[in-house]
Amino acid sequence: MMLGINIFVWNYQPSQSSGFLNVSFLDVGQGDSIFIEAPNGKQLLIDGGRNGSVVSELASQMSFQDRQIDVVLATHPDSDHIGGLPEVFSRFDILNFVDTGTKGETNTYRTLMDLVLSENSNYVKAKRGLVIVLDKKNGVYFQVLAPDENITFKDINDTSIVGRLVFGESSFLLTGDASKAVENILVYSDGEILDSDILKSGHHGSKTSSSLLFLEEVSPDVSIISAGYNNSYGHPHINVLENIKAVDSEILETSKDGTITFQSDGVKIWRK
Amino acid sequence: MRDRIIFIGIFSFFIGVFLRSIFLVPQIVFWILGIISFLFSFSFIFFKNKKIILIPVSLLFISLGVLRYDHKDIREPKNIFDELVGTEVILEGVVSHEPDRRENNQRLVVNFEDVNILVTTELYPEFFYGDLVKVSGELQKPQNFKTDIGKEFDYVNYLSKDSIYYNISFAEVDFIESNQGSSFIGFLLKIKSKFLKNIEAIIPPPQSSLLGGLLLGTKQSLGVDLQQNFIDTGLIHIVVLSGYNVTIVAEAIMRSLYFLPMAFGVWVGSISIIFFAIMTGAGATIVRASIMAILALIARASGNAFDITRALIIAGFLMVLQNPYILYFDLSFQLSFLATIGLIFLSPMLEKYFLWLPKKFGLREIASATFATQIFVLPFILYKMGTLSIIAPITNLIILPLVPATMFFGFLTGLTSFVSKIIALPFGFISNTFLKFEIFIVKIFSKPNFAAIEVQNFSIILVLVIYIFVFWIMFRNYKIYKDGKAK
Repeated sequence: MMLGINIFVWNYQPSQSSGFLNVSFLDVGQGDSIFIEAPNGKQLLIDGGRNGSVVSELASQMSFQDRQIDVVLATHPDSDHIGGLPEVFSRFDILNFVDTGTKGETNTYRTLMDLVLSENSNYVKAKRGLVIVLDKKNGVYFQVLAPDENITFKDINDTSIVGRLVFGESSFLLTGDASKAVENILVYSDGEILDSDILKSGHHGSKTSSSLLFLEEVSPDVSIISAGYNNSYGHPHINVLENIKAVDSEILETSKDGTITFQSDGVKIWRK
Repeated sequence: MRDRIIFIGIFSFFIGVFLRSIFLVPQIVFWILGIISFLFSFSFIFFKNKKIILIPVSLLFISLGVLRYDHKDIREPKNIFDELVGTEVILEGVVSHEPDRRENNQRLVVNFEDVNILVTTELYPEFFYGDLVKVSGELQKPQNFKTDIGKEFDYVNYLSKDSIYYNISFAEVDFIESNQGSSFIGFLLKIKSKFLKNIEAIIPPPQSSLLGGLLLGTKQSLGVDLQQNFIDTGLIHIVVLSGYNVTIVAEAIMRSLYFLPMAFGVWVGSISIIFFAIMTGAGATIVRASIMAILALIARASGNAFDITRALIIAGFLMVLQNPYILYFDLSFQLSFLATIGLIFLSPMLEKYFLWLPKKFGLREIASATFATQIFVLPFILYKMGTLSIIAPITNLIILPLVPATMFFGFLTGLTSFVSKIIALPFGFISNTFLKFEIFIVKIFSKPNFAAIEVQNFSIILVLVIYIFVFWIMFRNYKIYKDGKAK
């Protein structure tokens, strides 16, 4: 019997090459974590929530024997974005680690950077212009729009990696905690290429982000708010919700809907 | 008669400790009791009824109980740093317990000049038993607090049983040096942590957390919600390592030692059980179950019949003697003993009501054991915590038969993973399937509102009345039951 199970387990392949792009906004409470799996099975994790609960969420997205994530990307070193990443490092093999090089002040940040070194992950510094190609054959890539090397911000949130995930005609815009200042710059520098089907609203729906100007440019079909239920910050802010409604976008919240997964075939996007 | 004297003696000792726990018994009372019992021990010569000897024995042991408590209480550093409370302090101490890693923080017990201080700090960097650390923060005294449903939780005394009298929250902790604790305990804890890491590398959470709880009683990271689900379904006892788990482990150790010569086997078995107890942090439940398991081993080797009642009393006596605080202040000690009394006396009597259940997988035994322990712990749980799981008998009946297999394959996963992850993977797959199913059941049954109800203001008088009633019914029927069996 044991042998039978052995063969079954070892031959059982992860859910790769489904032909679809999967993008999951994980329910990690008050924080961000987005898990992306390309049609060829390559995986990208953007941020890791504030604690180890991200690992449970990942486990439900990945198959039992999948112990490897191709790229982990930290948008910026705040604890509600990297708090769960040390646990991710201890549970999975991380081939590549991407951040902006912005130094965090916390012990969590230092622990994470120690792990990047000790676990031998390939370190990549992200800046505007970097493109992470997940699936060459199907044309799935993540294009970094910010931060721009030539512009410096005081607020650590504004150093967030902002990027656009593209598969054929479908696109996702992920903005970390970037504020209106960054949004404005993006509107002027990138204009119509901001147009995306799905937008992760900046900074968990805080009023510091999601300007009407930016939302009009992105014109998302769906806006995701990744925040905790009854969180102490009062996210999402009422003005943000109004702005999103003003551009006729549907609103989905991880605090109400749990983990939100989209699937795309490169033409259409649907919720899974 | 000899048995009865010992029993009365130990029971009186408990009474002494209990009385001293709830109020300060003046030394003079102890001396008066001593003198009375001394006089009584002569007087019994003049009485025909030899049972009179029980009175001086009882009085003597009551005063010994008071004295033992006093002896411990006087030495406790309860107020030593009171002047510094509310001020910022910087201290260097050694992490003296295995750190308790929660979802969003870690709790360290730091030993500073023989005073244990509970330190709460952020999750990283990770600290370990035996680390010498520098702690800075505001020194505070623990405060009692109200639980979610409005019950007062006696946090002060809960911590005092581990000799913790101060705490520092949101502390800044810097690592100085490792391996400053007992190198033996450090070694055992290292094996444990490697073993758990092995499991975590193969089995995903929350299943890995449940398995850690089943095998080694690790409380960490089940997550608040899931933990509440286990409480609501009356299954939290399997997660926090109950006597049941320890019995399974002890049984497995004994079985694997059958090939050894008897005397040698007892030694190896006892030492393994002690190692296991230390690894798990030696909570009251585990110590109780371990002492009883070792006594069972000794009985088996010496060819004596194992008297489980006597084993329970001896275990209780040794534990209270070692730390008299646990009798009144340690809920897990109390629950563990109540549950075991239920298992020993009530469970066999209830079995006749479960004849309709098949004997397969020990279902009948599990049903009667669950009901017996529930009857015994319920009034007390209601009084202390105020929640009552109605669904417990059903969930226990579904889950408990699966626990040994889950533990077995989980253990193999952790063990084989020392050699290779590839070998461990299939074992991990099997135990993961079990664990997934168990969590699935727990989640389903915790959903409906009837899984658990909250009872407020369950009075201590009512608790006492219920226990007196239960004991009375039980011992009356126990005699009938025993006589019936003798025939």
